[in-house]
Amino acid sequence: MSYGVIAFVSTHDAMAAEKLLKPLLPITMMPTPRCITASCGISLRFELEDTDKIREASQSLSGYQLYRIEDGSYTPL
Amino acid sequence: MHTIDAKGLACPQPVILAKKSVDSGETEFAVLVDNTTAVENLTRLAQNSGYQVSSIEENGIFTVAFSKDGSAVPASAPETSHAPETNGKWAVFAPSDSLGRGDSELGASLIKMFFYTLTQEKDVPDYILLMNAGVTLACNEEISGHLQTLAEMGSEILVCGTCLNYYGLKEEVKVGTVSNMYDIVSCMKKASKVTTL
Repeated sequence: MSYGVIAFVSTHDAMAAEKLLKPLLPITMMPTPRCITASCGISLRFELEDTDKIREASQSLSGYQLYRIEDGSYTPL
Repeated sequence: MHTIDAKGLACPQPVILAKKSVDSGETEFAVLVDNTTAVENLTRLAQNSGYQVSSIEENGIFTVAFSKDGSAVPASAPETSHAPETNGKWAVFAPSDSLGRGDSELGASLIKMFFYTLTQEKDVPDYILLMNAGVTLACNEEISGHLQTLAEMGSEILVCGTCLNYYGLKEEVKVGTVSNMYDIVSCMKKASKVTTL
C-alpha cells in the first residue's frame, strides 16, 4: 500500500495547512510516519493520484515537503 | 412469567427494572418497551448476564423476553463471585473531544491522529467508550470514519445516550451504539486495561 504524505517543519503550519486543504481535497491528518524524522509530528495523508492537485493547493504554504510512503520507507515527491 | 411494563419510561429506567429481576435470579421474565434503543440496551443486558433473549414487536410495543436455562446459573455463579476477569480486554474511554488538556485546537488534532493510529494497528481496542463531549467524535465526519474502520476491525463502540441528548446530537451519530452508563461502566469493569484520553 502506498500513499502520499505532506510533512511540516512546524505543528502550527501543519494545522493551518489542514484547514486550508481539507475543504479542497480528501486528506487525513496522521502522525508523521516514523521513517520521516526531520519534521514535526503532524502530517497530512493524501492519495498519490492527487499529488498534482496537492502540490498546486499547497503553494501558499511554507515549511513542508511531500513524500511518497511505501512499505515503511519514503521517497521525496 | 413475570412481565415488567416499562413502556413510556426513558433510558435507563427499563434496564434498571430488568436488572432487578436479573439480580434477584429470575430465570424467565419479559419487559415491555416502546423504543428500539431500550430493546438494544435490554438485549445487551441479557447477553452480558447469560440470558437467552428474543424480542417481538406488535403495534409499536416491543416484548423483550429473557430466559435462562436453570443449569447455566450454577456454572457461571462461582466464576463471577471471585477473581476479576483477566481476559486482556482493552477499553479506550474518550470523555472529551480533545486528547489531554491544553490548547483545544491541538487537542482536536491529537485525538484525530490517535484514532487514525489505532486503525493502522492490528490489535484494536475491544471497547471504545464515548462520553460527554466525546460523543461528538461519533458525529465528526473524519473521526467517525476512523471509528467506523475500528468497528469493522472488531471494536465495540458505545456512545453515551444521555450526552447525545444533552448536546442535541441524537440524529447526528454516524457510528456506534447509543448506550448508557450501565453498559459503559460494565465495559470498563470487563476490561483489564482502560485508557482514558
